[in-house]
Amino acid sequence: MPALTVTQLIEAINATLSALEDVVVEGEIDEFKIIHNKWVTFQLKDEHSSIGCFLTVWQYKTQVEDGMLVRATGRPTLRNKGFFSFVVTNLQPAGEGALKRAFELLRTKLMQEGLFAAERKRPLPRFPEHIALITSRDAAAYSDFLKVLGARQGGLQISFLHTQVQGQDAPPQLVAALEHANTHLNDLDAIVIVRGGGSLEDLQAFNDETVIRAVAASRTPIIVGVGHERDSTLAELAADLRASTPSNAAELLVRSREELLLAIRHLHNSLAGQLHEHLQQQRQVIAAAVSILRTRTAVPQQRVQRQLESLSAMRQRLRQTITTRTGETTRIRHLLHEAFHEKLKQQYITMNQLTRMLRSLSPEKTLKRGYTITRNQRGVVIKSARHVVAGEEIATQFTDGSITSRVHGTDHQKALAL
Amino acid sequence: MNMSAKPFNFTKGYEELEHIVADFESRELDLEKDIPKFERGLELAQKLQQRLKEIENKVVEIEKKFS
Repeated sequence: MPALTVTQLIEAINATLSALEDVVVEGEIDEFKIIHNKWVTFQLKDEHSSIGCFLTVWQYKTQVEDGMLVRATGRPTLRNKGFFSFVVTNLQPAGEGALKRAFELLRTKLMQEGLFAAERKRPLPRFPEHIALITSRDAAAYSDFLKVLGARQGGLQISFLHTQVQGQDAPPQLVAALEHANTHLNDLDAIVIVRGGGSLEDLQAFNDETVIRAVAASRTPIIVGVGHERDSTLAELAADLRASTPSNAAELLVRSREELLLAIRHLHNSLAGQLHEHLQQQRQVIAAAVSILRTRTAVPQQRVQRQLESLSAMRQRLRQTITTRTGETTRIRHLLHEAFHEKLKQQYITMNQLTRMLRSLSPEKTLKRGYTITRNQRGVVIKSARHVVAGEEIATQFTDGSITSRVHGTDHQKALAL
Repeated sequence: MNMSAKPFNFTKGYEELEHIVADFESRELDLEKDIPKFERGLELAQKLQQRLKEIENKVVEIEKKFS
């Protein structure tokens, strides 16, 4: 029989061991160590035995500590150095107590990292229209969510990504689905991950560190609703919004159509109210303007009317005056005429009298009564004795002829004594 | 399904309506200029209401195996 090399021996032993395939071993953790943030080593033991375990930090997706009961899936391997190691591909806390403890450890760790911090939370869109739903198509959560969503709103687009939500395959599927939704779905408004209630072990996928980190890293706002009211998973804490149940996820995601219709009606009414109010104001302004215009234009109108009236009155008065005056003129003319006539009559009478008087006073008559007219040589009537000088020739006229005489002397003293 | 082409975006429509209302509330209206805006508001309200009358949600399963 030819001798084997050491390497060949180890290879042969490992080939034999590989027939065991993946073994699941349950035991208690001891001497747990993380080396250079690359490798994880611990002892898995029970009351009688102990075995060295090894895994990479990439495969270490939960939080364990010494004394914790775990279920390790892996393959027993003989290392090159000749020591035996159980190479773990999956490590899960076993039993409720261990799960709780692991949950607490991971929660503390991620919390310290700030993965659950309130300031990381993004608001969900007000009106999501395209939603990615990640869950199992066989789960009650799937129909519950869609039923409540449909009751609240229609016309939404839902991209459904089927994954397992329980068991070892669930975490990688959930992570892949999240990645797909974030990178391949256009105009995605929100991602929803739901799952019904179950034991802590059933919900373990949602306490898986890779899932929690994928949820926290989602570029699209995300709601996680797992389990019943009381259940809480770390994936929910990492989400932007935590729903207590799948139905609650639908309620949180979209507002009911009644609520929205009311809001829209409110906006509509407000809009109509604004316009109505404005029109009312405008109407008042116009009414006021019309009223002002009316009073303003009424003044000149009244003035014109008044002036027209006074003009008419004046015309009336003028007409009256003219009539009156015309009458007066006629009367005056009449009076004048009468007066003139009277005057004429009187003057006629006076003239007659005067004629008679004149007649009576004519020199002929006087001459007849014995008076004479004496004239000088120049023919001038001598009215005074002084106008005659002695020796002067004078002519004396009688009614029936005249005589000439020579003046002998004058006596101025003697006046006629009649 | 021909519903995939959505000509009306609910969010944009709602926000535009809210914006018009807020705008109207914040200032004096100018009838001539604002009538088209008012009409736009009414149109939006009608479209939004129309959209809410839709009953069915469209569920499309993504044909992909995730692992």
